[in-house]
Formats: sequence, C-alpha cells, structure tokens
Amino acid sequence: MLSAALFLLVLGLVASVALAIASRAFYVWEDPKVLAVTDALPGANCGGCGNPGCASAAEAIAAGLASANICVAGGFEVAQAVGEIMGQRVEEREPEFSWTSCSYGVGNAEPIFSYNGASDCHAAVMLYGGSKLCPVGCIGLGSCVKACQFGALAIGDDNLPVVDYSRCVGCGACVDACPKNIVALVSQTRRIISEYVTDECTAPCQRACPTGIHIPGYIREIRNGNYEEAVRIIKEKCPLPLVCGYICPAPCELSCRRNFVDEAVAIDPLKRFVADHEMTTGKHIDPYKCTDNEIKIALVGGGSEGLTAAYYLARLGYQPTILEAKPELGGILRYVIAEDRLPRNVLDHDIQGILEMGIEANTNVAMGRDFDVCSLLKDGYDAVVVTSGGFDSRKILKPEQERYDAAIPGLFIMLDLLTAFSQREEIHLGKHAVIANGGLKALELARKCRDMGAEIVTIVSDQPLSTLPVDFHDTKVLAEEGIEVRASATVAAMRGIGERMDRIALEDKDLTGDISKKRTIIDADTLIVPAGRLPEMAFVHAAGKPETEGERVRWQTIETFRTFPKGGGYGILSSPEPGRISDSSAVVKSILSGRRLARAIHQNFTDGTITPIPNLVWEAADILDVTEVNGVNPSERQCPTVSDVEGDSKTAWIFPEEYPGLDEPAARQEAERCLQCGLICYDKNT
Amino acid sequence: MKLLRTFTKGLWEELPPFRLVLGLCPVLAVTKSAETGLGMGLAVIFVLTCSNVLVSCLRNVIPRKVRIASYIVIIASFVVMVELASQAFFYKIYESLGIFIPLIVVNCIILGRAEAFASRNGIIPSALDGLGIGLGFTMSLTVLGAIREILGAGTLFGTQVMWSSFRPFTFMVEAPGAFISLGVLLALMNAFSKTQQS
Amino acid sequence: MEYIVLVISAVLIKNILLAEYLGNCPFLGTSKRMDTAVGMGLAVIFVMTIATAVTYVVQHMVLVPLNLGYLQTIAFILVIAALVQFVEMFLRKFAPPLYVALGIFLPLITTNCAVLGTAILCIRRDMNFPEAVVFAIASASGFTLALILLAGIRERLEISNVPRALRGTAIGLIMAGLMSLAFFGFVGVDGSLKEFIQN
Repeated sequence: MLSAALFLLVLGLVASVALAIASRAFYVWEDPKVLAVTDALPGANCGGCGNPGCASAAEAIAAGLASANICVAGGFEVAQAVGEIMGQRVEEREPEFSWTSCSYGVGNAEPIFSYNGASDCHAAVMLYGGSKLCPVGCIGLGSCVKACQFGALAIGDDNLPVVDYSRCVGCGACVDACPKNIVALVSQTRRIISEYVTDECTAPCQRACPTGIHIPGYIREIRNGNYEEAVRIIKEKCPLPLVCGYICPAPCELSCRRNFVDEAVAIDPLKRFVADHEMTTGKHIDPYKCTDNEIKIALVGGGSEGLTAAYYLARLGYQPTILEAKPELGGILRYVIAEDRLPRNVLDHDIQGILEMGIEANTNVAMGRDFDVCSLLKDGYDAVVVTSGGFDSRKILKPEQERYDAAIPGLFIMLDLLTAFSQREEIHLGKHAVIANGGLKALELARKCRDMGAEIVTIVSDQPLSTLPVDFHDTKVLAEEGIEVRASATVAAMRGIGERMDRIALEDKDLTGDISKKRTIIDADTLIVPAGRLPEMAFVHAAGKPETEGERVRWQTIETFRTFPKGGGYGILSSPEPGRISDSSAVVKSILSGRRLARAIHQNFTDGTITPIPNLVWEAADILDVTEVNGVNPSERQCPTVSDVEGDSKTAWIFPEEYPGLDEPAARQEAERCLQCGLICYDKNT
Repeated sequence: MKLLRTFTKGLWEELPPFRLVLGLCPVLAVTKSAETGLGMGLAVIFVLTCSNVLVSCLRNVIPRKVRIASYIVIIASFVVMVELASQAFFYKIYESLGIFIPLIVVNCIILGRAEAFASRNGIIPSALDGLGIGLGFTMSLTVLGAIREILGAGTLFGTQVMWSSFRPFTFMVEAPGAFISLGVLLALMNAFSKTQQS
Repeated sequence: MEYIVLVISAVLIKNILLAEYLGNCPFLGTSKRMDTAVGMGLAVIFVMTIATAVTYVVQHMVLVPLNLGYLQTIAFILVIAALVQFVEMFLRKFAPPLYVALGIFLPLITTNCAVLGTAILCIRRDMNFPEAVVFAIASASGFTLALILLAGIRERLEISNVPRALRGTAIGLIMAGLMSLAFFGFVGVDGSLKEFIQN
C-alpha cells in the first residue's frame, strides 16, 4: 500500500520535473505578436487571404509581408484588432460577397443527357462539360456548398446555389470550387463597373442593350409588383431610365426571343412604366453608393455622357463636378431633341436624380474660355475628363490675339484645322505634329502642317503599311519632305506640361490585333485626330500626384478602354467596337461610354492601370444563342390606350405628353409575356 | 425536472456511441456477445459515475493547466479498481474483456464527460450524468452484442434462440461484423431521427 | 527471421485497427482527408514506438521489481501522457518542420487507445525488448496503412450518392468493416510463412 502510494508520488514527481526541465530546455522563442495576431484572427483557416491558414497568415502579418486587413472572413473588426497589435492604421476594405449568375437549374434547363454519376460538380463537368446544353450553366451538385466553411451556401429547390448574405464573408472558397464560374466574388464596386463577357449568362436583350440593363431582372420585378426594385435594377446600368423610356430606339426589342413566336416584349414601354411610377412618387430611388473618398474629378460637358460618367463616379465614391458651357445640363437631350419627343420635365426629373447622387454642376462655363485642363488640375482636381460628346464640340479652340490655340493642350480635330487653314487663320502647331489615322486626307493635311511651320509631321495609322494608300509607301521621299509614317501603331497616351503637350506614347500593334506592349515615346507638340469630334479623354497628374514646375502642371492622359477581341483596338483614340464607344447616335450609347470613362478613372486610381476585358460581349461577338423558341403560347403585345379625343389617334404618337404609356394592368400583363431568358434557357411555360 | 433530464439525455439524445460517436473501440471489441457487452457496460457505468463525482468534487481545486492529466489519473484509479475487482470476482468476464478493461482509461466518453460536464456542474448532476450516459452506453453495448450474438452464434446470453438448423454468420462475431453492424445501427438511428423530425 | 513473421502478422493479419479493435476514434475522426490521415499515421508511428519502449522499461525495471504490477494501467497512462508532451516540446525545439507536420495530432494521441493498448499487449504477450519495439513499429504501420486506405475510400465517398442516413460515420464504419473483411484474407499467411522459413 505504502509502496504503491510512494511509487505513484515518485512517478508523478519525476514526470513533472522532467516536463518542467524540458519546457525550459526546449523553450522556443515565439513572436508574441504572431500569437496575438493568431488569436485575433477568426481561425477558420479558409485560405481567403491567400495563406494556407490563419497561423501562417499571422506570421506573414507579423513579418510585415501582409497588411493587417488581409483577413476577408473577419471583416473590419478583425482587421482593426490586428492593426492594433501591429500598430498599423487599418482602412476599411470593401466587403466582397459571392454571387451566382445562373438562373435555370438542372431540371429547368435544356439537358443533353441525364447525369447519374458522382455527385460532385468537377466529376460531372468531366463528362462533356456537364449534363446541360448550356456551357455556362450551373451543374447544381453543390461543390461550392461543400467548399463553404461558413454555411453561407445551399442548393435551393431549383438546383441552384443560394447565397446567405448574412453569413458570406467573401473568402472565395466557393469561387475556386466551382468548375463553371457560376459563383463569382464581387464587390459592389466591381458590379458597378462590370462589363458582360461571352462566357457568362446574359439574355439576348441584355446583350443588345448598349448600357446592358438587366432586362429580364426588372421585368421580373414588375411581374411581382415590385416597381421600386425594378427601377433600382435599371439604375444599376442606366442613370436616365425615364429619358430612355421615352426616346430609346430600343435595340433590345429587336433581339427579343419573343420575335420567334409573335412580337417582342414591350421592353422600353415597361421601363417607362416603372420610371413614370418613380416620377409620380416624387422620390428618387437611389442605387447602391460606395463610401465617399476625396478624389475630385472634373467633367467637361454636361450631356448624357458627362452626366453618366459623373453618376458612376459619384456611386464609386468620387467627388465629380460637371462643367457645362450651356446654361443648363442635358446636352443633346435638352438642346437638340424636340420637346415633343422628350418633355423637359422628364429630363429634369432624371437629371435631378443623377445630381442627387452627390454631383456638383457648374453651368455657363466653357473650356478654353473660363478654364482649361491645366487650370483644373491646378485647382485641385485629380482628374479631368472630357465628355464633350457628339454635340458642338468641334470649336473647342482657344481664341488668342493672333491665332487659335487648342483648348485641350496640343489637341486638334482635323476638320477644325482644315477649316482654319482654308480661312487662312493662324494656328499654333509647334515643331512636331502627329496626325492619327485620317486616311488619304492625312497626307494632304501633313503637307499643310509643314507649310504652316511644323518641322516634322508623323502620320500614325493603325493599319499595316501594305493596306495604306500607295502614296504612303514611298517613305524615303516622304521623309525628305519631313513626313514620317508609323503604320500598325496607335496613340496610347499624351503627356505634357502646363498648356503644352510635349510627348506622345505610341503603341505598336501586330497584325493579329493582339496587344504587344511595345511602347515608344516620341516628342510631339500637336496631335491631330481624324474624327469630327473629340474622343473621350481623361487627364491626370503625370506623377500620380500634383507636380508643378513653377506655375505649370505635369499631366498625362490615361487609357479609357482596353479589350482584346481579335482586331479590336486600344489606345486613347480608337474604339474597341467601331462606332460604339464614341458613338452618340442614341442616348444609350453615350451612357455606355460615360460608364466606361468612370471605369477607366476608377481603375486608374485603384489599380493604376486599366485591365483589359477578354471576351467582351459586343454586337459582333460570337455567342451561343437559340434559333427557335418552342412551347411558348403566342400572346398579344400590350399597347397603351390612347385617349383619342378627335378620332385621330396619330396625334398621340407624335406628342408624348399625350401618349400616356402603359397603365398598371397592361404593364403587369406585358411583364408576363417576358420569357425570362438566359443564355439559351427561357421559360417555356409563358 | 432538470435533474431528470440530465439523467435521461444519455439514454436517447446523447446516447453514446451513436449520438456522440466516441468510445468506439470497446464497443466494437467487446460486443461479441450480449454478456460481454453488458459486463463492459457495467464497468463503464461504475468508472464514469465515480470519476464524474470525484472530478465534480475536485473541480475547484484542480488547476486548469493540469486538469486533463488529473482527470486521467482519477479515471485510471477507478479503472484499476474495476480491473482488480473483476479479476477477483468475475474472472470469466475479465478474461473475455481482456485488454479492454485497462483501456477504459482512454475511453473518450469518460474523459469527455469529465471535461464537458463534471468539471462545470455540481456533484449530484454529475453523478446523474455519469449514470445516464453510462446506462445508455451499456444499453447500446448490450443491444449491439445481442444482435451480433444472435446472428453470429445463434444464441443470446449463451442460450440458443435461433432454430436448430440455423447456420450462424460467423463473421458477425469477428471484426468485420462489428464494424458493419455498428454502421448499420448508426444509419438506422439517423433514418429514425430524420423521420421523427419531419 | 521470426521478426518478419511478427511484422506481417501485426500489419496484415492482426491489424491493430481492423482486427484488434484499437484506435478506432482517431481512425474514424482523422480519415476524412488524405493529408490529415498521413499526418496522423506518421505521428502514431512515432509516438507508439517510443511509448512502447519506455513503458517496457518502466514495467520491467520498476513495476515488476517493486511488485507493483497492478499499477500498470495508471503508470503507463501517466508515462504516455508525459511522454507525448515531452515529444511535442522536443520536436518543437529540434525538428520544427516535423512539429508543424505532426504537431496538432500529438495531443490527440494521448487518449488513443492504440498506444496504450500496444504497450499493454507487449507486456501481456511476454515479448522481449526488441520484439516489443518491432511489434510497436509494425502495429503503428498497420494503423497508418488502414487509416490511409480508409481516407482514400472516404475521399471517394465524399462525392458519391450515399443514402442520406448512411452519410458520415455510418458509411465510414461499413467501409471499415469491408476492409476488415478483406484483411481477413491474410489469415493463415503467418503460419505458412513460419513453416516456409523453418524449412
């Protein structure tokens, strides 16, 4: 008995002494910061930060290799706690959340076979890319659900993933798990500037709409009687819903799948119906707006393009100011389009809605007269965007005592110059002029520029030399004249100081149309662009921050759009979709270019460079579609009841104020006609 | 009422080893017959109840850092008692349980209850918890043992229950039978609670 | 030569998991993913070998001379618990990569009945010291083999259409049963091997 007790005592003593000695002898120094940071992190080991787990993330943070806010799962509070341990100030990151795009689950979509194998999306995709005809459709076997460590995903009744936004922390585990890119990680910002790509689910109407309004989405909301939400969906992509409801040529209706059955859904009248609803309530429905930052942007021109760019910039948190030469905002919408077609109270309503997003507007101030790019940059604007649009932008010339100068430093429009030359007006050209494109006319203009005092003239063409007119081929002779030809190149950027441009960046383009990042920078004083109007341009401080030499500011332009479909263009002057980005032929087209300008500005201030969009959806893009529609019952398109006082209903069509739009029962009935299309799916029970 | 629930939860809601999938080794090893299952179960009831009571008594004395080691010592002491007692009085069962009597020490259920329940509750609830969980454990072991014995040997507690021409599935008393019958029982439990819920 | 028989017997015929019913909690707990299974298996090999050697010494140098055989259980579990903690600290100091790989599994092993079970089995079977060590290594390897095999099966099961009630541990147990059945095929190999070696 005694020996047993003694033995246990000795054993316990020996063990504890040995462990005590061992804990001293084998002591490993650990950074207390690592331990503290590990404790502060949520410990889910989700890998959303890019580290294999919370412990290694903590090590990276403590070693200074990662910032205190890398934890996406923990959110701002965790970031603050970590920042406190590390002695860093932490700025709030924009929350990201997972987003699913497929709307027809297995069971509702067109199948090619029935799948009965392992219930895992990756396994299912190995067999002909999945059981659905649609190549981008959700497999519905829930690989994303299994990947989610926070229980934020579930497969719903219709075999589609459902996100529980209260639980989603935006770690991105589901995105990595999905073999089909159905689940994406988006932030509100990224949604605001997003563009459709060919491998996502888009309805034909959505693709045809230059602004890309989610048409099936808002029609679904109208069906449900949720008009405010419908307006919100429209305003996600289009800041002028009511204006568009009145005057949009509605290219969407041309590609409506109902055309295969009877007649297109009255998409535009439905838009007008909900926008009218917004106007009668008298309250503007505001879409999502990011937290404000302090970056000030000046927009020159208050037409639909400038208004749109300002609207998106304000939503992205910037501080935009519109500068308009005319007494009122609206541009073509106000001063060109007949009041009969677009009542001014309608226009005022939409413009007011845009301004309420937090936009300042100064009218009766003109470029070249009251301000110019440099003076704006000097006045504290971080960027100046020229949204002169399609209307009366030609005479942005600065009248000086003896001659004309460019209001935008060094930038002239070919037609301006030719007119001025023919009237024998003096124009400041400088030593080196660059003519961008311009066809055969470019050569004539180059010679005229030489006559006017330019020593060297460079003609830049995005076409290869072999396809240019034969006159350009004899480069030797031209060189003797002082004319240089740069084929297969495009102007990528302008740089300058104060009111003068001094350099131009050219980018070589190979024959396939791919980007080969070959930049050459040449000295240039003048850039002459071929179009009848100014291209969309954005100016920023050259060093990323205000840098002055004496009174003069160093500036440069940024790219406004970049994509790479085959043969697509890039640079500041060419449009990726010919006739679209700089096209003001319809208000929806200006809205698109306005939004792309805002995107360019935003990317410039966040990523520093504009990211190209591969596989952009555009009119000529190759995209899967259906060629016939089956199983849909024909039904009549709803037309508004016209108050036909004098027995002549035609008046109603001419004067929209008397044209009442759809009434509520008609609109609800019309909304039922929508097939709720996806890429190739549509609702067959309509 | 609350005390009653503390006791009864071990019989269904937290029935080991089905609900708390813990302490599987003895479950698999000693359920060759209903009798060994019952014997093991009784041993576990004793150890679990006693260790729960003692842990609960000492819960405010034991420093947190060495609590697990202390629990193990407490449990081990009771296990030694059971071992010696069974060796003295129930040698047949001692023989058939073999190595699994000392291994009660590392049965996760006992340590788990000490850590999860006894270290936070008073003596009486802890005793009831130990009794309830132990009883549930015994029940499961006996049922599993009975099933395996009937199918594997045609007997129950040693008496023939199947018809005389019955050819026993010998594999049921071997390791594969243990795994499979436990798996099937677990699945039946799951299916049953699913239907109950809906 | 008899060591070969001992190893084959411990790994395949009397597999500690599938025939001796030891260490089933970690067997089902850590077999959901291959990488955890490998980590756990290695940690078990490591600890089981050391633990068996040390408890062997404790039994024959201390308990038997002092006539305290009945304290075997309590002494062994204390020794193993202290040992695991010691190994943890040792690895952390001298083999950090190994610590990172095995670290989280070490505390789990204290209450792994396979470790205590093997130690007690060696004593009960009256093995000598080298036999005990070889037996421990072989048993642990058998454990690792079964664990990795089951992990492979369960990774496949994860994406299969398993009936709802069977999902999780239930199907894991049934799979273990089938594996055990397959390992039954090795019964008798040791006897023939012994004969073969003797001839």
